[in-house]
Amino acid sequence: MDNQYKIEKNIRPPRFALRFLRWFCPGDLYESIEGDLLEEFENDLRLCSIQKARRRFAWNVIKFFRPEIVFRNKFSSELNEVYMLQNYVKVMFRNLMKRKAYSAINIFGLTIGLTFSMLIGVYVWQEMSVNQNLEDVDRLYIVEQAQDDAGVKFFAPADLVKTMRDQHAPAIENYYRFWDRNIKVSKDDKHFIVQSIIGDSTFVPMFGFPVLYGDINSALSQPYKVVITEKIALQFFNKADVVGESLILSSGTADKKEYIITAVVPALKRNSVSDLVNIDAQIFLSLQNWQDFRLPDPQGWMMNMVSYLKVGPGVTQTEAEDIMNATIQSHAPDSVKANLKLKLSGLDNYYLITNNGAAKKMIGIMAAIAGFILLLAIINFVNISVGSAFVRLKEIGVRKVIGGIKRQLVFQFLSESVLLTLAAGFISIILYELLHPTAEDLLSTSLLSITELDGGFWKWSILLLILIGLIAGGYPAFFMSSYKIIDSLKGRIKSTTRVLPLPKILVGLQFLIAICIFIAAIAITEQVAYFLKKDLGYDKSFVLTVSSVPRIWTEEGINQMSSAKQEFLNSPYVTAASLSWEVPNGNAGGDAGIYPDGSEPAKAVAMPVLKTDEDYYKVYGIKLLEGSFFYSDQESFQLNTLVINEKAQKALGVQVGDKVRITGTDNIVYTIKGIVNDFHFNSLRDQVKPLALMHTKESNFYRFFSFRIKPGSASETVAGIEKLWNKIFPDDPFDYAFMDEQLERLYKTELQLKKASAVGTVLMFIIMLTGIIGVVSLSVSKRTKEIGIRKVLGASVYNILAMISREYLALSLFAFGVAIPLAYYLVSSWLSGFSYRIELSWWMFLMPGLFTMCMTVIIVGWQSLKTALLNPTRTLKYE
Amino acid sequence: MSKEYLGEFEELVLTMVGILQDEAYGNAIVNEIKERVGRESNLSAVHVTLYRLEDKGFIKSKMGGATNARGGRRKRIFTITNAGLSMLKAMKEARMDLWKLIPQLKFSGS
Repeated sequence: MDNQYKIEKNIRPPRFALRFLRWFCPGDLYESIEGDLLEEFENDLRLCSIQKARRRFAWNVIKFFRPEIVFRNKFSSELNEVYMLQNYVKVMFRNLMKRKAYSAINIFGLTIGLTFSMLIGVYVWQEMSVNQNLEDVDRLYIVEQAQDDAGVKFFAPADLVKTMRDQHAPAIENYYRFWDRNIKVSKDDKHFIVQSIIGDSTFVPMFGFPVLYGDINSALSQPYKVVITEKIALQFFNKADVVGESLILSSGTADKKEYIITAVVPALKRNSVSDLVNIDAQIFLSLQNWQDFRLPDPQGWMMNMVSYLKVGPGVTQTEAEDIMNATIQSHAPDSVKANLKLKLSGLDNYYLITNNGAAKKMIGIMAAIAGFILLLAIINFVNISVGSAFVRLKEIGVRKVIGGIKRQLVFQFLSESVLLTLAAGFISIILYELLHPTAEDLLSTSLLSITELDGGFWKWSILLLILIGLIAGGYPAFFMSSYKIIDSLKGRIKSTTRVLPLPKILVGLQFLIAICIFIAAIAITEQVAYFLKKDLGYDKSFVLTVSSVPRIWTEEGINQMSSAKQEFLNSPYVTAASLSWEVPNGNAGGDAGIYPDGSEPAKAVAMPVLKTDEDYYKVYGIKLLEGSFFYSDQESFQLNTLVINEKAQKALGVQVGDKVRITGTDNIVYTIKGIVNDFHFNSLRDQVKPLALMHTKESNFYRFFSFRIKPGSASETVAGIEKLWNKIFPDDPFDYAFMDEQLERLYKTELQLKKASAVGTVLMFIIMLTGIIGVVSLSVSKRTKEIGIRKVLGASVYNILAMISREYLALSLFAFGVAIPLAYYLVSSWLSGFSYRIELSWWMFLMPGLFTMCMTVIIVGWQSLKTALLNPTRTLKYE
Repeated sequence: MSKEYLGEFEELVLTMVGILQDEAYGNAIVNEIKERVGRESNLSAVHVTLYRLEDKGFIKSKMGGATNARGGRRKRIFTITNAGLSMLKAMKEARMDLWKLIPQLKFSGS
């Protein structure tokens, strides 16, 4: 009794455990279980400490939280459903086996649709997750030019973000600025040109990049330190843990310096910092080494850098922009202030919306193609399920007679379609794993393997699969389960014409989508061909560009390159050679504001300034309209000379011999020496804009050697040049590309789209035509008697075929009629994004239409021929 | 009901119910198993097994009278049914039959 008192008053089992037990335990078991637990608690009190006894009580309660207890007497009726489910699956398999052809069409179509969708889905998923791995991505911004016509948008004065952070510390938490350079990296006898970014020491801490080895906070705080990716580590050392090792980096001043590796990072997930405009940087250096790479001093307001900001928690974009504008007003010199309009773009969705939302549009179009393919597969499923309903009418009747209610039948058919979809999804996953390397080539992008996809992707995929199953099974389920018992047992189906409208509408929809996508695919293909064939104002064929030129950015270096150039010219392969910073691939080194001498800096015209030597126009076949290309044969090189294109001539209103100035270096007067034609430096998406060319000797900067090679065997020529290259530059790799290839890279998204739409069209037609085979053979099989009677009454085989194909032909004709304006609208709105585009012509519309109709007639005819040939005595014998 | 099969733990619990007679409830069975077989068993596992045996018809249960101990909660007393008893018997006999078939090396050998 003494003991009892203690329990009642002082020592009680944990209240939460008791409450939890009461919550989950069924009422009729509750009392005895609680009693037993309390008794055990009393025993425990005698044996061990109060705390331990309480702990054991709680633990014992949790052990009772098991299905046998929790669900006891709750779902006893559900037991039947499990048996029914087994029965459904069994019957489903029997039906699948009994009607193999139709099942194959269903599963085949769904599998094709799902595999294609998965390939596109992974692509979309990857595009959507760009930048999502950056730490606090919602607080990261990149500084951009606010004007739409700015050439390179993401450059901002070097001092801007630094001043902002220094003056508004908590609101502006951190900043990062960088320049990118290709740097020759060497270790012993290994030499590679590696993309680098040279920036502030905040690189890793600010963006939260993962680190494999080394201390990241101090990694870039001192000069002559380098952070590298695992890939580079393996490339040079064959192992990843290389902290403390050193690499030799050749800088722009020809001297090689040793850099100590302070940290190794894993391959960085795609982001708009290390992979801005697809540079995919692999090594990261400190800005303190700016002089070694002949970079300008990263200070002041005249030099522009790529700049990022991290704002404090809770600081909005508008607040940050206000701080930015105030900083510009109070700190920037007047000449800069006048022309500077900046904005902040959140890194969160920067990748998707930058470049006029190119990535977003691409995702949209890709997802639409995948969605349509899936839709076609779903339509097949619906059509075949509804068309073959009569086979299962007896089953439905019997199920109803023995007490099945409509809800259960709906459930049966829905679970069938969901199971089929899941099965098709499973096959698709295997197919995806087999096909994604091929798709990578096709889309020229890398796709993750299924093992690398994260949980979020799978969660969405499975949800989507179930949803597709429900959509596909929804109509057939309600359609079939609503038959009256007597009708279904008698096998009496409503006459074919009354059942058919929906399948017909759906087949019409299939025609419509397939024809539209076909037309679009043709238009895209034509536009891409136009891109690659159009006269660009220069001759892109037979130009070889080499990007791995040793970077000795001094006068000495330029002279060294001039003599190298002479050696190449003496070889039998090269007819012209040029040393330059740019090749005409749209990637200009920088913009400058140019204004006529005597005008004001505020009236300057912004244009890219290419740095080339005097032979550039010969290599690229650019037409010199007036004057000379920097200097004529009789003259020698003079400093402060420019060549401009026609657009720039008009914009500035100048002639050969006129003087101009450049904002920022306003005291220098440049002389216009020549005018060239408006060649396409940028992609054909944009109009040709004003452009200026400056001699490499003005700055001593260069990146590329361009060679015009003699027509003939390309591989022989490349091998010859490579041999010569290795003789002249024994320490430098030979990284080359033909100009045509460089241009193809410029149209990467359009090429991707072309391939995806072509593959999409083929798959759509396969799915649609197999679907039509299914629908036609189903409807013909229901009409064997009708056809027999018609034949008895004198119809020829030809009449019968014409009768059956007429319906489908009419359907495709109708769809074609609707498709023309629809496709015209879609295609012309896509084309309007390009400044130089093809004219749509009638054959692009007619061909898909005719093709669809021909295929339809062939397939329908072929499917119904067998029935049409049957002897009527056989079909009419049994009645 | 030859198809009905008892697991090892089920058989043990069923036997305990038979042994304990009117005192067969959850905790008592746990203690009895510990005392007689020396085996630690879990209260919740015993409960679940009891309910399963009840579902199979080998035991039946009723609520006992209230006591002052265990916070005044009543016990659920289980008693073995005829079916349960004959099941135990059948299992024992089957085992004995099998046992007899093992060559008794110890006696016949050396």
